[in-house]
Amino acid sequence: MNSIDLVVLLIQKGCWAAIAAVGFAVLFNVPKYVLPHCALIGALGYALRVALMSNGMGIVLATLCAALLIGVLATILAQNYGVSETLFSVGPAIPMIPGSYAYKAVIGLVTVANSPDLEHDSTLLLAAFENGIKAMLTVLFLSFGIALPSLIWSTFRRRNK
Amino acid sequence: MNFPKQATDSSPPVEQPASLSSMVDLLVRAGSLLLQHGADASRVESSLRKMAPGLGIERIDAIVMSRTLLLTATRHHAHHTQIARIPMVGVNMNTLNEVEQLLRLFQQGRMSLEQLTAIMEQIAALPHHYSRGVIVAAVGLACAAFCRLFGGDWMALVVTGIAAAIATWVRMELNRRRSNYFLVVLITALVASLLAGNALWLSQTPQSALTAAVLLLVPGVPLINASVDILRGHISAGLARATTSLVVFLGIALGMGFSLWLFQIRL
Repeated sequence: MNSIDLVVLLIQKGCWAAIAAVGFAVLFNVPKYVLPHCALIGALGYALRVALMSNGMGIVLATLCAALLIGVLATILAQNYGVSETLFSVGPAIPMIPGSYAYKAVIGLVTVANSPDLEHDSTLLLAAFENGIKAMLTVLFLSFGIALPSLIWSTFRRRNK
Repeated sequence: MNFPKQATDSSPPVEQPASLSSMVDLLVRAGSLLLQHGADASRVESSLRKMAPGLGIERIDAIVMSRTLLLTATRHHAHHTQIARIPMVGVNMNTLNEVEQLLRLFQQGRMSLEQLTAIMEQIAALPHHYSRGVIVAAVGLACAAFCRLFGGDWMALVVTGIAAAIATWVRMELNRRRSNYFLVVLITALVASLLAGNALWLSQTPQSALTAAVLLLVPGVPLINASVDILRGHISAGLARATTSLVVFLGIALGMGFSLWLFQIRL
């Protein structure tokens, strides 16, 4: 029963993530034939992250795994169509960006600066730093994970020539 | 002998063995098209470097900063340098893709220099694939989906969608007037969060609506480019982008903080 619940949750989250990925792909003006691929990659990547996080993995490592999946799929599709892989990876990457952590960190810092008595409010500072570090590392690992498969692929192919 | 033009908006006349300055003009034009539409520094640099054999240039050195391009081409002990300041336009994956395909065709020798110059200007003038209405609706839908991902109810989803769509339109209008980027972020965040704050009366989960409605402003491509730049050794370009992203987050937090204070919502 528990696993069925999880599957339903993954499908739901995947569908919403697909909509978000396509929305941002439209904003970034990707060609129309790329949109269905963006939806699929976005759904798979986000569902993988939710699945890993529901098994107790932290957001940073889960994002790295999901980003690697996005990167691999984007690289394969890019080779298939003979275009650049960012076309496929940029839309799906946007739902993964921990925007809420990042501005929770900024709001936390503003609150700290505004608080009259830091000793009393030191938990605020701690929370702001925790959110900030999570946001920073998640973005770093997200971009690293997306860039890595194409980097490996291009060096590997060049060596073969 | 014509002097190198300062602006690269008109295609330079190409002599029989093309002059070094006109080639540099062309390379800077290609590089600025890539950079201003959201390519990372190493992508711009490698695209330009690969052009050297096709143009008959021995060596191309390019330094790519976040909004500046420095390029030197060397041929037979002569060299020519151009420094270009590049206005930011916004992410446009289609332009990036078209320019890269074009450069690849040229490298494969399937195109002359005149054709390359002409087609590049056509690409620069290419209209957006999607009309403004479609973009506004798509971003509204995307933010509504975010609201659902954050556990918002259906009413919050509707409010988020409308707020994000209107905010997208506001941002497009402001960008068209070439306003300062921080001001654009601040005003858009204010509009989005003030509209999304109406979820307070309509939904059980107003926090999710407020959080999701400003997500259209999250600088996704600059953030990813910043880390790609830093990872590939373009530290100064990466740090500049990271700083810009940080300032954007500050603008989002300020605009949103005002609405949170106004509506007395705690996240």
